[in-house]
Amino acid sequence: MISSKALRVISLAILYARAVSSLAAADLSGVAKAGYVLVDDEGNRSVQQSTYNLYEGPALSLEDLEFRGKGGIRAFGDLRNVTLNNRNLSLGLTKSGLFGVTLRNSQYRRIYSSDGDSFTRRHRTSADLWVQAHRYVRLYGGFGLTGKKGRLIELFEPGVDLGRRQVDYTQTDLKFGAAFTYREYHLNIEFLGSSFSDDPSADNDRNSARYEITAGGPLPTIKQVAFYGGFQRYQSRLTERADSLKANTVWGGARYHAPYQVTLKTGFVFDRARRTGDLTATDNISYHVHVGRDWLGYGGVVLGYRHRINDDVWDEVSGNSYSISAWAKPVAPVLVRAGYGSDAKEVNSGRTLTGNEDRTRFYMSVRYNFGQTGYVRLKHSARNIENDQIGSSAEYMQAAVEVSLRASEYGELQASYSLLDGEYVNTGGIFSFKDHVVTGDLLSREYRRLRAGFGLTYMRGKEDVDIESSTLRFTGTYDFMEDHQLEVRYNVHNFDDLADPSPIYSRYYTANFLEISVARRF
Amino acid sequence: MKRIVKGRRLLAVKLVAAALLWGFNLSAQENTVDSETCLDCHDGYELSVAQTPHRLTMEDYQPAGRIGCTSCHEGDDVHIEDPSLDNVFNPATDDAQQAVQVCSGCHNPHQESGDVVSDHLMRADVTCTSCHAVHQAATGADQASICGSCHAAMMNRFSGTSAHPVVGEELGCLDCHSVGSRDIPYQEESGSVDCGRCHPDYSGPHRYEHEAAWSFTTEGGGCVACHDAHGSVNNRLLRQPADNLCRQCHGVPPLHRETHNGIGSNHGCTDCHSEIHGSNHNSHLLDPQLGSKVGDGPDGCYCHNVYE
Repeated sequence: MISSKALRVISLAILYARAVSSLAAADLSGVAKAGYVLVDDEGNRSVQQSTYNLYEGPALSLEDLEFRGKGGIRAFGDLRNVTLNNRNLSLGLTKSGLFGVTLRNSQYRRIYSSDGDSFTRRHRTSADLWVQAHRYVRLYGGFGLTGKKGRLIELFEPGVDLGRRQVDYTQTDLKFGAAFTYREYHLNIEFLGSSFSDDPSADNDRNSARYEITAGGPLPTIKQVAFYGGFQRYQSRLTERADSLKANTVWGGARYHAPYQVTLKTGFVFDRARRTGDLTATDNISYHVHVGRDWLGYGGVVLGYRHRINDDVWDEVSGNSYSISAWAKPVAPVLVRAGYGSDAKEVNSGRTLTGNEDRTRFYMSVRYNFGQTGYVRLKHSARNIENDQIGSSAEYMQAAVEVSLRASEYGELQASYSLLDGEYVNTGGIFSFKDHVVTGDLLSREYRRLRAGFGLTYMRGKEDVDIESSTLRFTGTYDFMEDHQLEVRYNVHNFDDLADPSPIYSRYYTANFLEISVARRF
Repeated sequence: MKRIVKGRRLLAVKLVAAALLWGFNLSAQENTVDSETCLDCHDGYELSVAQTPHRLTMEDYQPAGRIGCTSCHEGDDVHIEDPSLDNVFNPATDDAQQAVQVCSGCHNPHQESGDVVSDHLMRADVTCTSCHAVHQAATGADQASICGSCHAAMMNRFSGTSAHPVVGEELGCLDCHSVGSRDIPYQEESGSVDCGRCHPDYSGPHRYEHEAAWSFTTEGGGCVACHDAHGSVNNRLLRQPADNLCRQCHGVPPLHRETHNGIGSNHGCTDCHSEIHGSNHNSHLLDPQLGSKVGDGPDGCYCHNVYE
């Protein structure tokens, strides 16, 4: 069965490659690829996200298309899997300093049920255009059409029909604007509008519009002092209900590159949102100050402070954040980075659901460079959140080691191991998790026109969850007839929830994906 | 009233010009031998400087009138008696530091900015005449060809897949580089400030900064942390292709990797983090339209929160 399919694939591939050979005569470069994807899976199809959008069938692609003409003309394209439902297409044409246009189309399927019957498929088609109307003026615009259809399960319980509902919506986006740049100064004016139409429930239909103006530039006499600012008006209106949201946001600030590599930056944000449905209004105000100092070639440090206020009719909340981040090169091949931040949220009046909150985060990484050969890096980060009012806390820690090596006589290797350890505590009990994630990619050098690759992603979740998930990736290529290539890609996916006792709603899943293709470079 | 203002301006200009000339005359070296004496042997050399500010003239009121052959070529007293290459100073071939002192006797802007006492002279033994041809009228040679005569490797980068249009003469080396600078080697101001002269929308400041772009120096960040300003084999002057560049600092976030994994999951970092230079919309530098593109409607997005 497979061998006959493979024969058909090879025949189809050769025909396809010949058909596009005429393209080679033009001043084009790219890869024409014809292949077949075989799928063999078993189990619950809703648990492995990376397999949602894979289909069985013949796959034709034109990848990395590029044409460079005289006078800065460049045409490019990438048409992947034209014959399959996960097609991803883009085409573009630019003339340097004059105009550019890009067209895109893509589809994505998300599976919600064990048997794959409940799924949604999203398609998006968009076009973007820019024109350099004047040396200092660029006009741009874009149009997007997004549609999503299918049936989803709101409660993530495989096999349970109660949570299923139909999805059928269409959204159109329109964007246009103008960007003015003159020397170090820029001004941008933009409009972004969208219309959302929900077939199952017209109550969700809404239109939104965003008007935005941003500007920035240095002082004419002191170039080291640069200002920035902007204003945005956003409004969203439910067309079938008397409800709308309007928000006006103003922001601005300055940055000063002072002598001795000292940098100062300050800024503010004022945002007022009004909702007509319940006649509520909310103010969000924040300002921040950052100070940085660098020692050329040796290190740098940035200190930051931010204060914010959230005020509405029910409560007033304020917060203070402090941060420090630094880098250092104690010796040439070693780069050390570290940072610490804290945030305290306080309810000044009224009540909120979670009450006062304290957050801290810390990270540190040490990287050793082997010159052109690669690097090894150790990373550690930790986060903590505490809400005294509701007696809850969350702690999270990640430790990781990464290696990237490249040697022309052997090939390339990228590998990492991460440990993620955390727990969530509230009055009801403790939920803890400990995840081990291993990733790796190995690509051999070319040997007698052959190249082989192997990749692995393995995740083991333990403690209060007991999950095992893995993906193995095998690739092999063989070059023949100067500009042709035979490529075989084989992926194995596995997912198992070992803590799930139910044989009916088992979350076990295994899948094999085999893609055989013949490519021709032109 | 306008006439009075205009008259005052003219007077001010004249005063400044007079002051400059007076200062120049003080700093110019006196000619110990008339240039005519030199031209008796070195016939035709007056023509080589005829179209330059160093032209030999008898008009005393012009700055050039104070310049003669021996202003630069010292040692004339011995040389006249015993004509030899060894007993007269030639700034083009002899000691670089001495040559700089000769030129900076009149031309002190470079010296004041620190140009001639930093990189080029001290490190590479380059002198004024390495770039400036005194016995030659301006040839129209562009900066790139002058600088490229030494910096050939840099010039090669301009032929990369993506490159700044220096070869096309739209830009010159000195648009970004100072000939030398004591504070920040190789650059006029710093990575982000220099780039901001042409790319202000990218260099910021922004409401939310990319930390790499925030830092002042090239060692800690700035535009050149990701972009090779000369040219690159990658698109958009990137130092490494696409996601490899992001991984240099961010590694592979484990949960990103687990979700976007295997055949058919070809998501690049900037597909979602499109406002990578800095954002006025969210602190994760995500595409403000991401909710529309991958989520459930214009205001929602299941996995990717585009708001703060």
